[in-house]
Amino acid sequence: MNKLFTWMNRRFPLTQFKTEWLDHYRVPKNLNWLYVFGVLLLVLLVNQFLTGFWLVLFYTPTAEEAFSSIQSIMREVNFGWLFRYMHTTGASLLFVMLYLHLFRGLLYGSYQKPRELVWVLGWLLFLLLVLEAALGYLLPWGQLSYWGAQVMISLMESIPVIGHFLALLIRGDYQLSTVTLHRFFAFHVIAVPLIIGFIVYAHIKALRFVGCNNPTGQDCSAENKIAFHPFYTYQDLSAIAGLLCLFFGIVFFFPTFYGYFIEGTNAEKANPLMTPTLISPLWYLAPFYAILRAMPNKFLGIVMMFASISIWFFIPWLDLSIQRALRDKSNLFFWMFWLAVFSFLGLGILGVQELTPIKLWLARWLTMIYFAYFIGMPLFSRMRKS
Amino acid sequence: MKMSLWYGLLMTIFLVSPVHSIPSISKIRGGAVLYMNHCSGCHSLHYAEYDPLLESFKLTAWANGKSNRLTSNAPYQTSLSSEDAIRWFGRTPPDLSLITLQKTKRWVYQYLMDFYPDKHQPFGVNNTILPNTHMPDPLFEQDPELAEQIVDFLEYVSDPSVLIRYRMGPWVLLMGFVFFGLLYQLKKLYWKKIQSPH
Repeated sequence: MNKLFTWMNRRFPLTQFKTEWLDHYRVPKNLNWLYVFGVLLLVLLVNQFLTGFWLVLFYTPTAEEAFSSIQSIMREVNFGWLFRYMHTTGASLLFVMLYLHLFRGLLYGSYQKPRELVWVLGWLLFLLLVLEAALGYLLPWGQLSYWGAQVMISLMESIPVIGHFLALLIRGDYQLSTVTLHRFFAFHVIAVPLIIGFIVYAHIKALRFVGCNNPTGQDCSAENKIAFHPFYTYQDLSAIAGLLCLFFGIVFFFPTFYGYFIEGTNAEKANPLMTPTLISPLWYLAPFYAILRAMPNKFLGIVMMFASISIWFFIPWLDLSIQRALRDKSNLFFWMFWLAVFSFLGLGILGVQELTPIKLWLARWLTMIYFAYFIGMPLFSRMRKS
Repeated sequence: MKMSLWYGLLMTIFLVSPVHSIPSISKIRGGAVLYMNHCSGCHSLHYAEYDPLLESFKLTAWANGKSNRLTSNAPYQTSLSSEDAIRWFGRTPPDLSLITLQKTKRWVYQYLMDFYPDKHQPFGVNNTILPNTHMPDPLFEQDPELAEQIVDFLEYVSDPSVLIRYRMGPWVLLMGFVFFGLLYQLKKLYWKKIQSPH
């Protein structure tokens, strides 16, 4: 065995890879459980890749066959139901973990100097994952897939001047059809995952280059750092085991998760002649959808929705505070942070519901609070903690 | 320790809650017979065509013994033509093979139970869950037990994996627990090295 490794190491940096990534990588010793979501995201991404491959083996991307090919995966393919439910549950849990990961970053100021690029790459990954989810959502060719994509493409159409051309380019047709489905399929299984893979690598590489932040937000001295392996590898592994319990609990007992992970409306085959009464977005995009819907004008809505996502990009430069951790920042920052978190959650709850005048009013207020956090950040981040 | 307790609690909830709704094969069989009697005249079950469990019930032979309505090639395909259906009921009865996924099990049960007499309707009944429904009351006497069996059957048809999922799930979770417990203890063991010396 040893001989084999020596032979190998002369030709490929196998041991070097292990020492570099696990043993010599030194990490602050005070990382808490909020620091496990990165690795959980990685596990879920691998899960999406493997189960997705299995699904592609049996799925047919045409308007006529797509819906029934999913039914044959659910009924005739051995353990097809397991792989499909792992894929759908994985997609939703990925966004749960993503939001928690993001929350951790905001809480401890992990985006501040010198980790701006780690943050920006993470933001890019978020965009790509949203795109990946939206593309994948059309594939089952259910009612909500069809009408959801219809809404998305009609959003494109309202962009001035180039809108109609853009929509035509995406659809490849004058209506949603097999051509569109093929397009979405190709992007969902090849192009976007490939880019995601590269950016994930860059995200991790950038993090390891500048070093990991910690809950105190202070720079960590060398004697307060420990080796990644075995300390954090086992912490991560136990977190992964915990995630698997939650994951399979959902896969086996609540795969549709009360209509949030797989919507009931999507169990009906797409019907271009019948619009569903409520076209609700995927739960993890609900906050942004609520912002879109709260605006009185469609184009303004789109601008605001894109602004609400794009503004995350600028956080490292909006936050001018010297301290990283939230508890060391000014009181106003503290309150604005929690208000923004709750307004985001509130928008999420509103986004999946039918619109009423009161909810519209509420959504507009929450949108204002949400943006106030970002726009006001240069001001209240300069204040001192009293 | 505290964390494993939390997970224990969470998983206990997972393990306990679905136990109440595990559909039994005898209930599904009962529901299938009821379905053949009350529903199959108008509603198809397109995706249930090749289901091995339903095949094993030999419903076709059973139903053909009673009448010649069903052909053996397509036991779950209704022989009601779309034109007739529209003439008689005002619309084509929907395919029911995914109904509990579309509407939830509870909705279907409530729908079957909530018919009430209404002289203004063509069939003399109306429904609180689906007002002005086109369907006549299929169960006449609204026996909760019958409705429950039909709903269990339809749940199985909508997602045949329910049977195997509920059987396998607890064991998978048990393995996850053990896996978590071992790794967490191992993690604690390693961390002792850097926490205790002082």
